[in-house]
Amino acid sequence: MTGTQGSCCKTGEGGAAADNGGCGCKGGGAGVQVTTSCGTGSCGAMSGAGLVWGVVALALRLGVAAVFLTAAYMKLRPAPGPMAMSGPQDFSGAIKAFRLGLPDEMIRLTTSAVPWTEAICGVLLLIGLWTRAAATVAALLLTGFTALIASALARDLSIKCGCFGEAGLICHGPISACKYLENGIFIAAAVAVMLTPRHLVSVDDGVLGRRRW
Amino acid sequence: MGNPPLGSCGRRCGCGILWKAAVILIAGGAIGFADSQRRPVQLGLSETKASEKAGAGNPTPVGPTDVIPDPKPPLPPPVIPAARTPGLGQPAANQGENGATSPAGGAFVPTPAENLKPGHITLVDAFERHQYMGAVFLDARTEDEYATGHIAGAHYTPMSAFRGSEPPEYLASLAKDQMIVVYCGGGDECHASEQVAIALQLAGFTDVSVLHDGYIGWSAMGHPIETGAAK
Repeated sequence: MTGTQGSCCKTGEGGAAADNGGCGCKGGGAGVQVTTSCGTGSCGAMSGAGLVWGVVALALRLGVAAVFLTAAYMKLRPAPGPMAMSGPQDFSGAIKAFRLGLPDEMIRLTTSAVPWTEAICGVLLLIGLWTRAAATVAALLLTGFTALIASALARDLSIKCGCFGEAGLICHGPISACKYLENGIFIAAAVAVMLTPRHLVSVDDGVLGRRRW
Repeated sequence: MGNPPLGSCGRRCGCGILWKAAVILIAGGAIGFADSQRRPVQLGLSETKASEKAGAGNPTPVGPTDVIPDPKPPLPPPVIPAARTPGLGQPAANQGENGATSPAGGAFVPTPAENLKPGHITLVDAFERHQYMGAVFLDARTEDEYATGHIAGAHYTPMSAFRGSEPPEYLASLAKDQMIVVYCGGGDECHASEQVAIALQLAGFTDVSVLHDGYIGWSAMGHPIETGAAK
């Protein structure tokens, strides 16, 4: 059994990092596994740099997971008080404020589908299952949100994005160019997770024993 | 477990991620659809008691269930003075698709009643409610805008008032059938007032309306305003 890891299995060196469903660096022109520095016989010896990147990728993964779970909770939470609005009701108002001309049924579906997709991504990233796919969806969602914000700014709308309910992680108040920075950071983190073939402390690469560091 | 031949790994990696991503999106959509059926959201303002009684834009409430004791003196027709909106803390121009127009330095054109959405009322109707019917006015604009100028007696009530566990005191003290008029800047570009009105309806208030032409229209008509920070 041979392990693959970002630092020891590079596609440019004749190998291709396997997806989460498989283990091994393939290359060598005839399907021969390239063992290089991974070839310790235990599919898991990490180089120092690999370990550092693994820890960084873990932090990024958990960070993106926290962002998505927070966003999902704020959009799905029940009304906190007798006169308070529930998360979905509040988020539907935020969607309407973008004035996209969507029909009501589409607004209703978006109001629920977006936060549930965020929640699924958040949970998958948290436990490290289907990590790269979840990071891909996260990056796509964030890119879509950024496009919507750009559209609103281009139309000079003074609205709140509704991303995290009333709260804000980096940016506060009505949407502004600050949201580009905030979303840019999140997108970069999601893309980094997406491009990392293996992940520390994850169901994909450890907990189930299919791969070991 | 055998290894795939050269080249198949790359394809498998890409396809694996894509179909898993598709599964995530489909699952999110399906759960979201089910949740939207279980917890439907209210997207628009429903007809209020007052609207049912008076009809949007009707300056004099009439109807078999009308309990207003004294007939009101007829209100003057909407006079359209030269706009005095600039300098009152409003945007220099605000134009809605339905006709509410307040160009800088120009005249204000009130939105006709027939162009209003359900739950929205005209300036004439709002003035009647302000002067004779004891309506509570709520300002859904920003705190700065409220401080610069607001409808006389209006309470500062942004959307954030409906996100906490405790409502503002004055809201908690209101009877559920209290006549309430919510406003923001005015016109179709003003969104906050409708959201606040929906929140009030969801909280159980039965007589909630939105002043469609908002503060711009109100002040342009010369109706009573005042300044000062929110209490």
